[in-house]
Order: sequence, then structure tokens, then C-alpha cells
Amino acid sequence: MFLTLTIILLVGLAGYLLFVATRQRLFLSIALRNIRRRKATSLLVVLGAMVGTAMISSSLAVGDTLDYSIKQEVYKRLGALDSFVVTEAASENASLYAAETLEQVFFSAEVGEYVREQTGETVDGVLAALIAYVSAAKIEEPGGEPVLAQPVVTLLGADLEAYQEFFTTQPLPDMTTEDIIISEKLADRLEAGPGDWLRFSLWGQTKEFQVKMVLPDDQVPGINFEGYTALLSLDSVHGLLTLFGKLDTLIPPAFLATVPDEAKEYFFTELEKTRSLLQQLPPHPVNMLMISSAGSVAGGAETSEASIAAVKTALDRYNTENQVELRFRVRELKKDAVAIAEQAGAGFTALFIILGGFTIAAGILLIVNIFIMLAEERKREIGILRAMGMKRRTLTSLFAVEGLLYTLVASSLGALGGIAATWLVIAGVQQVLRTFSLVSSFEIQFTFELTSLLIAFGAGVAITFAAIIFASVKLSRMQIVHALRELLRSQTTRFSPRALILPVLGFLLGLLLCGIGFTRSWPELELLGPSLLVVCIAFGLRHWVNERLLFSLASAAVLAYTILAPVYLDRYFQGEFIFILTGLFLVVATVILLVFNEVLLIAPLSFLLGRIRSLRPLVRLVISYPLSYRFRSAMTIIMFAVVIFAVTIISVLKGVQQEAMRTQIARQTDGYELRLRFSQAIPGFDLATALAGREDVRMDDFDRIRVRQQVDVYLTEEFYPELEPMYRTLTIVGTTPDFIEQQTALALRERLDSFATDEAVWQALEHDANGIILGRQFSDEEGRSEGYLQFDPGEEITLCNASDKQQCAVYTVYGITSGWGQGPFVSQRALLAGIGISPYAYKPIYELDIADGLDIASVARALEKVLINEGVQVINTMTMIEEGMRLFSIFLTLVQAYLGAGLLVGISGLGVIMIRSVHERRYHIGLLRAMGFRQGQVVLSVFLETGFVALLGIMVGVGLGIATAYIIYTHQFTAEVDAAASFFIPWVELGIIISISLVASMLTSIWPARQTARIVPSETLRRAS
Amino acid sequence: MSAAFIKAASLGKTYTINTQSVEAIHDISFSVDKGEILTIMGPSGCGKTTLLNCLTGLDEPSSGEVWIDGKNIHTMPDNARSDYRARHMGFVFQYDNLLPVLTAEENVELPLVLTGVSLKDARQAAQEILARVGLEGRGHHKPAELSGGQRQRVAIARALVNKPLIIWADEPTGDLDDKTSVEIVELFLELNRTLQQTFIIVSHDPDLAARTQRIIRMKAGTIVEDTRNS
Ligand SMILES: Nc1ncnc2c1ncn2[C@@H]1O[C@H](COP(=O)(O)OP(=O)(O)OP(=O)(O)O)[C@@H](O)[C@H]1O
Ligand SMILES: [Mg+2]
Repeated sequence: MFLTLTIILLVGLAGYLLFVATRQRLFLSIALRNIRRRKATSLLVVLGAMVGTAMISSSLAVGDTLDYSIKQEVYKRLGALDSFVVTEAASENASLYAAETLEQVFFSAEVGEYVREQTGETVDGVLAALIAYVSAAKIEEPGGEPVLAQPVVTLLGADLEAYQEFFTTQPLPDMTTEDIIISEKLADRLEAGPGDWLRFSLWGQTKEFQVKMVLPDDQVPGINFEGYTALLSLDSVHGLLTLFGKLDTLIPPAFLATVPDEAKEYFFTELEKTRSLLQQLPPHPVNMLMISSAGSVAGGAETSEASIAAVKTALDRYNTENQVELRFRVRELKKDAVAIAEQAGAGFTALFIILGGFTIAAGILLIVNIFIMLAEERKREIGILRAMGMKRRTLTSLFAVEGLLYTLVASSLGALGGIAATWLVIAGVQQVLRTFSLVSSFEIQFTFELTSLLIAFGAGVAITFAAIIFASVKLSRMQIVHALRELLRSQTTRFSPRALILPVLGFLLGLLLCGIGFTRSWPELELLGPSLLVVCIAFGLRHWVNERLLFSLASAAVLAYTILAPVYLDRYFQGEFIFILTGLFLVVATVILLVFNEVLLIAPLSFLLGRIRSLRPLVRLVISYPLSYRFRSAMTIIMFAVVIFAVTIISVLKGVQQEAMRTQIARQTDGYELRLRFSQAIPGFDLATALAGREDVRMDDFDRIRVRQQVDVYLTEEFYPELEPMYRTLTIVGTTPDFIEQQTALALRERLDSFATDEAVWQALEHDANGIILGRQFSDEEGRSEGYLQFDPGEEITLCNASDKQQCAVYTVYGITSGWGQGPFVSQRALLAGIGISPYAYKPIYELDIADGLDIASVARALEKVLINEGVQVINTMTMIEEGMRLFSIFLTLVQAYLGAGLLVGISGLGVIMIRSVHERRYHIGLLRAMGFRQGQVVLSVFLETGFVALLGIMVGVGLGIATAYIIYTHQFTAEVDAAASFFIPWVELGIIISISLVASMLTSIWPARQTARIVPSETLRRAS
Repeated sequence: MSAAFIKAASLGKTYTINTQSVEAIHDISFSVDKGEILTIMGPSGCGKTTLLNCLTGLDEPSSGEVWIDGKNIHTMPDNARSDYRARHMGFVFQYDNLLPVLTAEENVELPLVLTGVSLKDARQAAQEILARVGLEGRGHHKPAELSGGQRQRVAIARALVNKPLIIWADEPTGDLDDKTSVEIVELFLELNRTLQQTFIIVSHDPDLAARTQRIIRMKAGTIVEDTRNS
């Protein structure tokens, strides 16, 4: 729609210009001569309008970039992979190859071939794959020490010929059973290239491979774990799983030696179970079919619907033809991922549009301001022309033609310039992201749509031209006497009923908007309508009531109404436009209120400056200029305030965000920065022994160590028929007397009435055979996921053994912890007695509080290296949470950079305005100099005046920004990010932003002021210049 | 007789526009005693304003030197020159003397505030001098709201308000009616007598000239006649 409008507009303007060029040659030549005569003025006008347009085009380009980068990320991650097929059991069960589900997880590679044959056109490729997750380390040489490790890597076993046809454009090398191909990402992580050796580990078993090739990320489908993928032949992965002991192996003798007898018994029964299941496995087992829909990488998302239908039909047919009952799930990967990404992107883009909206508004104000100034400068000239008998319309066209020439130059340069500026900003952001290594995978890629460029150009032309028309009509309307006398403010004129036409029309429009807005509860109109009514009443009464009183009341009313609107209007925060509107209304109303009540400003300022003796003569000048040009000053202050407003909001929100992150980290980690997670139970494992003799990481590095023993239990359909499959597996912390000893600090939120203290509850858990303590997530509405079970103290919960679902027992809820994500706690004794869980089935979780001053990341890396063979995953809780908020952080950084650029533009806008006003005031400066003002004093007065204007803008922007951020925080942030995030104003950051913008904007005025003050007074006193 | 209060030695000023040069004044030498009141006359464009600007240090002459009170005004650093102007000189220009953003009163106060006089004293002095030039009660008007002659009188008031040693006035009575003109001249003469202030006035008005002590006539950039009224 915007594009059509733009084209219509451009065609119209071109037509007008053609008309002028042919029919009104004289105007064109006068305009051209005017421009040539006032080169400096013209340059400034073009510059101002250019900056305004640049703000628009850069906003659009950042939007494009964001959108593109997010989608690109999905395509890169998934490559040609559009969807995949796994069995129902695999898609529901968290542990993909738990022994009891083996036969439901694996199926024959034949299914892949069958589907490939049956699907035809809509499907490009079907790849039968065996997926396993292992840990990987780079080693110096075969059998050597690990150098760098990556705890979780996706092993992708596939027929390499089929893979080549399917995913990659590059010819794959011949591979022996020792060779491996890795993704670029994994190669980067391990700093490994062709020829290097990698060691894969699972359950304490290892196997080494040599890297044969590194494939670009977009040619390796990353199903999971961030695209750390290794590609092997189907047989190799199969062999690995075999070796690693889950399919048909024995526990290695060396390991067995360390295991106590009763533990051996446990392992042998587990193995026995696995063996019996293995008998039933199909030949050439795989656990996934990867599907590539017809079409390109980006196009696959659209065609996937048809291909999924075809795959489903083929799978059904396979079942009937072979008379089997394989239950498959088809997952639309790319379409979902693109949808999710688009959703995430849309959220960011919306926020960006809001912030960009403010910058664009500032751009528009700048353009209008520049042209008002241009018109003011011409006042006298226009007065003379009018006195000589030139008609208003002629005058307007004369001015319009000149303006149009400026517009075309400024808009085209501005649109391009904005895009160039965005490119710079993005390059900067990339640099920042790289240095802070905020992200490993997501990359921002600069791009822009041609439409954006065109729209920006069109919008620039439209706005500039509208500003010109506005300014020239205003000028030509001026009474000739006023023009000649250069009256600063129009004097009260006799009332004419015609002056009421606009207010009355506006009032009616306001009524209409109110009507629609309130009946349909349309927040934009609910805000706009009443405000329009108030403003129109004020304009209508202007001739009878004191202007100051009238406009003060009107702006105060709009201000109060707008700031309170979110409180009493329903569905206020729906769209992004309402935010822009709210912000603009707040800023404009406040500035008008201030400008009409200058006493409020002057008194403190003159008091302050008057204290300093040398500044006393300047005080009056500093204040008088901005107040004499009320309209212009108001526009300038609003322009500046709007940008500062947006900057403040984003800084505060970022502060709240970081605060939320800190709270979350504190809550989740309790000060333990690292967590060691074991893929399986390793009886007799002891961290101190594992670290003995190590240099890079020692037990001394940890201030505190906390160990939890965890085991999975099952909530069966028999007892919980409604429960979602994903919640059926429940991980329990099995307590021991030692653990209870450590755990007494863990406060309870609720407990069974029969217990007097928290302590008593924990003791009872250890002594009784049927007690359970649940985490807060089971009881509190606020933190509970939907579909999750809910319990109160005294209620009962039935748990079953995950391996043998017939063994079940009832446990009574003794208490609920105060923290989220804790427990559930049951004593190991009770679990053994009740549902037969062996003490050797527990997997430990170590939590480590790293000593102050140590680099957490490097400790984590060292631990990964040491424990790589135990299959230990070292989780940095901090980065885990940060990763979760990564995209948001990147986005905030990008927005901040963009707003930083916006601020720069705001400052230079103020600079342009100051250059122009100093130029306008040359004669006055000459007078001051003749009167004995020193050069320095003249410069200082202009400097302080700019500071006064900028400070007003800053105060209004910061004040309203904080208020608005608070409203956003209370309405949006609390629910979405974290309930416990407290409101937080980053004063230091704001202080820096404020001082930089204040000083920078004041500095912009120094140069023109100095230039003018330096000229010999007699020169500036010559009017002609 | 002591050394001359104002002394100009072979002053010349040439303006160059593109390649053309206009010699606005050339080889002007004369001196003025302290407490003298004199009129410079001459046809339009003969260089009167240029001469004034060079004498006051508002402009740099192309050649020659100017001494005021024994100091070479053109070798003085800019700040010292500004301060000297602030303390000892008052100006009335040919047009637009006032800052449009300030009221008449504030315009008049400005030189006093600049030299460190308190606001209260400055306001009082401004009101007194405005009354002397016949603008009682007009102090709160902005220049745009005053007539041409009224503006000129505000400018005169401002030039006089800090009781400077020298007053430079370029066509001070050009926009005034006869009666007001006479009043202004009377004021000048009185101040000249009582406060020994030096007045250098550019005027086309022969009546005004006749009442001052001395008349300098210019033509095409040079002094053609220098007469003293008896
Ligand atoms: N800045 C300048 N650049 C070029 N020429 C100048 C400049 N200032 C003055 N002149 C020229 O110098 C000559 C003298 O000008 P000046 O203003 O001194 O005349 P004047 O005697 O004051 O005339 P009037 O009585 O009309 O005010 C004129 O010919 C004028 O064109
Ligand atoms: Mg002159």
C-alpha cells in the first residue's frame, strides 16, 4: 500500500514539476537563482531535510535487516531439511534410546527407501538417519590428551551417497570407518580441520576419528544442539552405539572392577533387558527420516505441506503393505522454525517500529523546523513582494517550486544516506557482537529491500513538501505589515468567523473518532479523539480567552489523559502504533505546557546562571531567543525530546531486562555457577579423585560443592490419564541423610499441619517410607506450566518405576519448597522400598560455586576436558540463561546502536538549527559586539542557549521516557520475562547518554557562533548580507 | 593643550569585491579633543559610515592608524577592545540598533549589565534615560512594536546609559521629527557640557550641524573641509 502511494505521489510530483518547467518557467528560474544566491542556506536546508529522510530509510533498512537475518538463521540451521519423521515413542520420550523403548524408537532404513519411492514430485529427498548425541573432544594424536571439548554433538549417521544428493553441493570423500565429516560450527568450536583427531565419548566409552572434511553449516542439517554436527556412515554410528553399550555390548572390564557387587547385579539386569529388546530390532536400524521438500532452501517451507501429506500417505501404505504397526510422527521443522522465527522477528520488528517511529517523528520535525526557519528569514523579502502586489497564490507557488527542488535532492540523498548509515551501524553492531562473543551462531546480515528505499524517498518527498507548503502558506497568510516589520509573534487580530472553521471541523472529527474508538474499544482512537477535542476547543476559544491559560489547560489535559490512558483504557497495549502515539502526545503536550509557562523555566535558570557573575549579562540573551521564537523552539525541543525519550525507554527496559536476568540467575543457581550433568549413573564417581593431579582445575577452585542424586520415575496413564506425555517422566532427587544435613537451609513455603517446623518435615522424609516434598512449581499458579500437575500438602502422588511400570507406590506430599524448580525430593530408601529403584540408578548432578576471581568459562572448559570420558556435560548456568535471552540482547544492542545513531542525528539536527539561527542573528551579534560584548561572551551565550534548549529536551525526554518505561514494565514485562524483575533505572547509563548528548549538542553551536563572532562587527552590521 | 583624545593618521579603507576594488575612504587624518562635539557631513556614499567604523575599531582600516586616549585602537587585542567599547563608547547606528527579542528597557540595560552593574540599578538608570528621550512608559515594548523614531530614541538612550567617554552616532535624528530632533540635540549638548562626553555625529541635518562645535565635510572618501563654529 505504501508503495502504491509512493508511486502515485512521485508521478504527481513529476507531473507538477513538468508543468512548472514548461508553463511557469519564470518561477523555476527565480527559484534556481534564489538557491544559487544563498548557497549556504540552501545547503543547510538540504542537509536538514536529508537527515530527516535518512532517519526514515534507516529505520526501514534496520527492519529489513532484522527480518532477513532471522529467517536466514533458520535456513542456515536447517539447510535443505524441511521436516523429519520419528516414531511416536521417540517424539514423546525425552530419552531417545532408553532401553525399554528401543523397539519403539528404531525402525528399518527400508522405510526410507519406500517413502522415497512413493512420494514422487513433492519430495526432493528422503534420508534415513541414525541420530545419537555424544560428547566430542579434539585430541593431539590418537590416544592423546583432549585439547578442546564440546559436550554435546549430534552424530548423524546416513548413507553418504544419499546425503550428498540431498544436502550438499560438494562431493563427499571416500570414508573409512575411522573418518568423519564435521560441520563448520563444530570445526570452529574445537578448532579442528581436516587431518585432526576427535574423540567421541558416551557412557564412559570412547572412540576416535579423523576429520576428513569440514562442511559449511548450511549443508549440515542441525536437528538439535546448535548445529554441532558430525556426519558418519550409517554403519559407523551403529557401531558406535554398539560400542557405547546401549545396543549389544558388555560393560568394559576396567570399569567393572570399580563397581561393587550389588551394583554389578543392577547393571546386568539392565543389560539383560536391553539384549532381549535387541532381538526384536529391525535390520539396519535408523531412528529418523529426514525429508527435503521440493524447491530451494527458502522455498521448501512453502511446499512442505504437500510433501508432508505425501509422506504420511506413504508411511500408512508401508504399514498396510508390510502388515506392521509402526506409529510415526511427522514434524514440520522448517515451517515451524520459520514461523517461530517470524514471530520472534515480528515482536522485535514491532518494538523497532515503535522506536523507529520516534526517530522518524524527530526527522519530520526537523524538516518542518528547517522550512519554518527558511520562511522566517524571507519574511521581509516576502513582505516587500506582497506590498508590491504579488498574490498569495503566486507567492506560495514560488516558494513551493524552490522547495520542491530542495526536496528532490534532499530526499534522494537522504534515502541513500540512511541506508549507508544503517550499513555502518550494522557493521558496528557485528563488531560489538564479535568482540563480546555474545553470540556464536546468530549473525546479523545487512540487507535492504528496494521498496524500503523507495518508500523512504517517497515519504521524505511527501513530508518535506508538506512542510514547505505549510511554511509557505503560513508565510503568505501573514499580514504584510507583520512581514515588513518582522514581528516575531502575530498580534491579536480582529475575530473573523472563518478562523472557527478549522477548530469546528476538527471538533467534529474528534467526536467521530471518540464515537468509533469507544464503541469498538480501539485504543488509538480513544487516545486521539478526546485529545483532538481538547485541542480544537482551545483553538476555537483562542480569541476570547488568554492564550497561555487556554493552551496550558489544554496541554495539561492531554498530558494527564495520555499518561493515565493505559490505566483506564482496555486493551491498550495491542499494537505498536499506540506506543508511538502515546509517546508523541506526552512529549508534545509537556513541551507546549512548558513553553507557555516559561516562568517555570526562567526563574530557576536565571537564578542559577545569575549566581555566576560573568554569566549575568548573558542570562537574558540565553533565555530571550528561544522564548521569542516559541513555535520554533517548541519544535526543536520536541524533536530532541522525542529521540531522548526513545533512548531512555530502551535503556530502562534493557536495565530491567538485565535485572530480570540477574534475579533469574540468582534464583536458579543459588550462587552455583556451574553444573555437571552426567549422562548416566557412574557408581563410585568422585570429583576430587577425578581432579587429582590436575593443574588446570583443582578442588580449591570451588567455594562450595553441592551434589544431588537424580533418577527418573514415571507417572503412568493408569493414575494420571489426562497428563501430557511430555510430563510423564519425572526427575526425582533421591535424598540421603547426608543430603538432608546439607539441605536444611532449603525453606518450605507450605507444610503438612502435623509438622511443627521445616526441619521436622525434612527429618520425616528421611525416616518415613512414603513422604515427598515438591517444588513450588507444583503448587503456585503463577509459575506453573499449563497441563502440569498440582498438589497441596497432604495430597497423594503415585510414582512408578520408569523401567518397570508395574512397580508403583503412593507418596504423601509433606511440603512445598519456597523456590521454583526444586525437587521433588523423596528419600532413596523410600524409592527402593516402594518402587525398587536401585541406589546405582541415580545420576549425580554437581553444582559448583566457583571461587571469586576465577574465570567461570575457562574453569568450565577445563572441567569439560577432564571429564570428557565420563560423558559429563558442564553447564554454565549463567551462559545458559544468557543464551536464552540472546536474541533479545542482540536486538537491544542493535536498537541501542540505531538509537545512538538517531541521537547523533538529533544532535546534528539541533546543530543545523543553531547554525541557521546564528546566521539569522548575524546582525544582532554585530550589535552586541559594538556594545562591547567580547567574542567569547557571544559564543558563550549561543552555547548556553543551545544547552538550555537541549536540556529542556533531555529533561522532558528522560522524564517521560522513565514514566513510559514504567508503564510498559508493569503491563508487559512482568508477565513475559520474569515475575520477579524489579523496576530499575540505569542512572549511570542514562547519565552518560544525557551528558554526551548535552555536551555534543552544545558543541555543535560553538563553531557557527565562533565564526560569526570573529567577523569584524562592521561587516555583520551591514544589513545587506 | 594636551595630546589629542582621538587621533586618526592617514586612514584608508578599500573594499574588494571580486576583482573590483572600491576605495571608500583614503588618507584621512584629523584629531578630536576630549569633550568636543562634532558633526561629519557629506553626500550619500562618501564614506562617513566607513570612517566611523574605522575610528571606533568596529572595522579594520586598510591603512593608517587610530589612537584613542593614547592607545592604538587597532593593535589592541580584541577582548581589550571589546571591554573598552563596553566601558567608554556608546553607539547609535544608522538602522536597526535594537535586539528584537528584548524589550526597549532590556535593550537599554544591556550595556550596564555587561559592565557589572546590578540589575536593580540598571533598571533604574534605563528608566531615567528612557524618560530623558521621551519614552516614559514604553519600556516594556519590543522594538517591533515601536515606531522608527521611537526605536532610534531607544538606541540613543542605550548609547548614553553608561555615560561613555565617546558617543558615536550615525544619523541619530534621521527618522525624527523636527521637535524631537531638537530635543535630542539639546540632550547631547547638555551632556557634552556637564559630563564632558565627546560626541561624533554623522548627519545630513544642517541645523544639527550648526549647533555643534565643529563640522567635518567629506566627499568621495576624503575630508574636504574642517570648520569650527564660533
Ligand atoms: N562592505 C563593503 N563592501 C563593498 N563596498 C562597501 C562596503 N561598505 C561600504 N562600501 C562602499 O563604500 C562607500 C562608502 O560607504 P559608506 O557606507 O561609508 O557611505 P556613507 O557615507 O555612510 O553613505 P550614507 O550617507 O548613504 O549612509 C560606498 O560606495 C559603498 O558602496
Ligand atoms: Mg552611512
